[in-house]
Amino acid sequence: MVRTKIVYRLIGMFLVFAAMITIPLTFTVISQVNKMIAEEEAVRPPENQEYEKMHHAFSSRLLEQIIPYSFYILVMALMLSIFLSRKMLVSLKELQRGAKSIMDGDLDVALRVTGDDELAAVTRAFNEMAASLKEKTVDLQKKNTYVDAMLDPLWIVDEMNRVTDVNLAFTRLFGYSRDEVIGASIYDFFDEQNASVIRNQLNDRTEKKTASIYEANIITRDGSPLPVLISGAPIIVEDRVVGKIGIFKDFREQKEFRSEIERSRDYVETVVNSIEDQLLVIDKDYRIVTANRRALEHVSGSPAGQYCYSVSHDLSKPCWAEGHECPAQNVFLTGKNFRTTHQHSGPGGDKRFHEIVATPIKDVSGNVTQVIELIRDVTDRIRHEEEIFLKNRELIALNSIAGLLSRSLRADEIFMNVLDRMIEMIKMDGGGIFFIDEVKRDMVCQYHRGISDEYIRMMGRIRMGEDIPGKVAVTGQIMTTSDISKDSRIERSLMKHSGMKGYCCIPVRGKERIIGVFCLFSFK
Amino acid sequence: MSLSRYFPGVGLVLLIALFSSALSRVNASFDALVVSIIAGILIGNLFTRHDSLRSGIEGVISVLLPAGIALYGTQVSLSHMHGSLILFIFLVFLALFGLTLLLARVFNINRKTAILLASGLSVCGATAVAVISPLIGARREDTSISIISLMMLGLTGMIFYPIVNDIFLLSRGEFNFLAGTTLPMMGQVKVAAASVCPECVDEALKIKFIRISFLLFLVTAAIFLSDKEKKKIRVPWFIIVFLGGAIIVNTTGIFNSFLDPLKTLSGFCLSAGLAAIGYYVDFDAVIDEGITPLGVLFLAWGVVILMMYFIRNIF
Repeated sequence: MVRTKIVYRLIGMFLVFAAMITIPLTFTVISQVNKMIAEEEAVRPPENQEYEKMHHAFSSRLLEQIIPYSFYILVMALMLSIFLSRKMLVSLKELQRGAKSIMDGDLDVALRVTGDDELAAVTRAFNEMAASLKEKTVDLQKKNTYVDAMLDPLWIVDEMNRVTDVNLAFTRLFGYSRDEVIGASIYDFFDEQNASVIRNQLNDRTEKKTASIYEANIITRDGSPLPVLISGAPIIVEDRVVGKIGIFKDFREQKEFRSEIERSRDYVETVVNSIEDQLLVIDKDYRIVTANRRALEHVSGSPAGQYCYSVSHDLSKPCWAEGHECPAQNVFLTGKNFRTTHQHSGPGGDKRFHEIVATPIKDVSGNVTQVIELIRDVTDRIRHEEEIFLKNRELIALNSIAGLLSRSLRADEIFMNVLDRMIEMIKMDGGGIFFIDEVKRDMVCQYHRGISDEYIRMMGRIRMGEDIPGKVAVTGQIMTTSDISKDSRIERSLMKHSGMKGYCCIPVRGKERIIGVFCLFSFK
Repeated sequence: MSLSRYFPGVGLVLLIALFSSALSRVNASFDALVVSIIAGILIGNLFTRHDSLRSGIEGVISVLLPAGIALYGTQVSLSHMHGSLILFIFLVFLALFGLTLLLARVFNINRKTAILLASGLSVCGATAVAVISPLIGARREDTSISIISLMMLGLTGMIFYPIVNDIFLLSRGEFNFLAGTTLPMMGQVKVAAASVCPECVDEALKIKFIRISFLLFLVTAAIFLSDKEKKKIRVPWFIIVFLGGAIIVNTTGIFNSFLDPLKTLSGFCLSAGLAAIGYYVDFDAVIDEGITPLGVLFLAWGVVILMMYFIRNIF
């Protein structure tokens, strides 16, 4: 109802003071006048009624004049006081204007300083405060601009885990308006599972006063979860955690990449594990980096980190240090593919052949950092090849013999040529053909090569069942020996000490019976 | 259009006018017009201005104030008035108006405030300001500072003129001329004259009424001097009625039997109008405009009085 401006308070105060002065003063004057008239009349009574009437009307006339004039003087003085107090009021009004300007966000306000009184000092202080405020606000605005320019969302959380501030990126990414977020609990933005993660992280962070990075799904305004990587740090003031700051990284793309990588890795693992051959990746220290499932079958435990020579050859030093050929070393040295076949011992001590294909893995500079060894068990293939080789040789021999037979029907020529071909094909040093004499029950060497006639005269007749040729003639089984001198099947010492080493004896079959034996020998 | 929205404002100013009239009957020194405007100013500034009062108060300013001026025409009496006296009154009016405008320009007072100050000082104070303000498109601050300054000057004159009269031993005619031509408000003229002698009141008011009739010239001059783009001369209806009333009263005896009721009615209307004007006078204008308008008024007033003094002594 009553105005509360300072100027009106001044007016009110002025009127009260003025009334306090004028009213008692008026009544004092009137009282004194009445007293004076009474005293005068006591000394000199009025001469007539008119005189007496004038006397008595004096005080009322005085009152009639004093009251309105006091009133007018008061009003005049009041107005004058407003004019004269203008300087003070201007300062106050300026301060009011300045305060309003600051309230409206105008920090460029500079108030006019009038005079040099306390209000002028306050005005100057206000100007300094405004300047300082502007400086700080500009600084804050700059920082705010930087924060708002951030592509990554950010929120500030108080001690009670309520959001106190967010940047523009936050509203953009999650779709919430600033007003919706400010004051809300951070747990409103997470489902139960993620809220639990966040709670643990925040408790841990508050307790240890350290920053942390963790992944969570935040619920956007449309209700869909959005994967984010949260980099959180406590805000510490005077060694007390007064809030937290969280910077979010939109993790959708990364998560997609990661899933893609995981799928690719799974696929590669599936492919690698589907390979029937053993696959090892070996680093420069000859440690196995990884291996496929097939390779794992051959070792106990995980081979990762173990030395390849330890796993494959049970050695304590690299193969090449032991004088063996090492495909990995070769690749590291040459930087090129290397293929070789190694003979290893199988689980049962049997011979196993492994074909090893070593391929370099190079870095961007072309340096070989790792080697892929693809180890294939080729034992069966090698054996088949050997068999094929032998069969081929047999076929070649048969073919050669068939050729001889087609060219001549003379037995001497045929047997000598066959003997020569066999020696040549099998790369032996000599041989002989024994024919069975059914009557005498022995065998006679009728054709020979690589041995002297004298030896033949001494050793050219062998009884059935004696020595290897005799046994072959009786059993019809091929017999071979790598060192005839140590073979117990040889009975005669002359043969043992003939200098022959390798010895092979094959039965020669005729119609329904064995007609002789074919012997080949070598001195190696 | 609902009339009820006028009631609060009209009611307030009528209450002030009634109070002022009653007070003036108790003590003649409390002139109704002066008390009304002072009461309006005090109430308007000490209490919150409610929007509900606006329509009524503005209605009073636009109806009762002009009506009061118009009816005052019947109070203008040219009997026992020489043509030379009217000429002197006009010269003083011109001097006050011209000098105030000149000084206002010297002291860089804005043109609208200058016109309002000059109009108020030279013719009839707050009433002239209220009449001229809308015609020249004055701001509320211009109107407020003009009325406050005129009020201040008028009160000063009202209080000090009787003292001046005693010091300089002015004749009754001289005092009436001084009060009638240089005090801005009618109530102030009445109070000042009454404080010298009861008979002075009528004579001083006669001179004052002559000044009021100069509103006709003032309106034209004010519009011409203003910086309004469309300077359309439009003599307000109440000036025409004022002049018409004055002519009829002075040439015929038609209104003779109604003069007293008309005087009371016009006084009451003017009292209500001044209370309404006072209600919208804002002390904040003093802070915005400063003491310069008051200084200019006092300077122009003082110079004119000195001129009158010198002329009196010379002739």
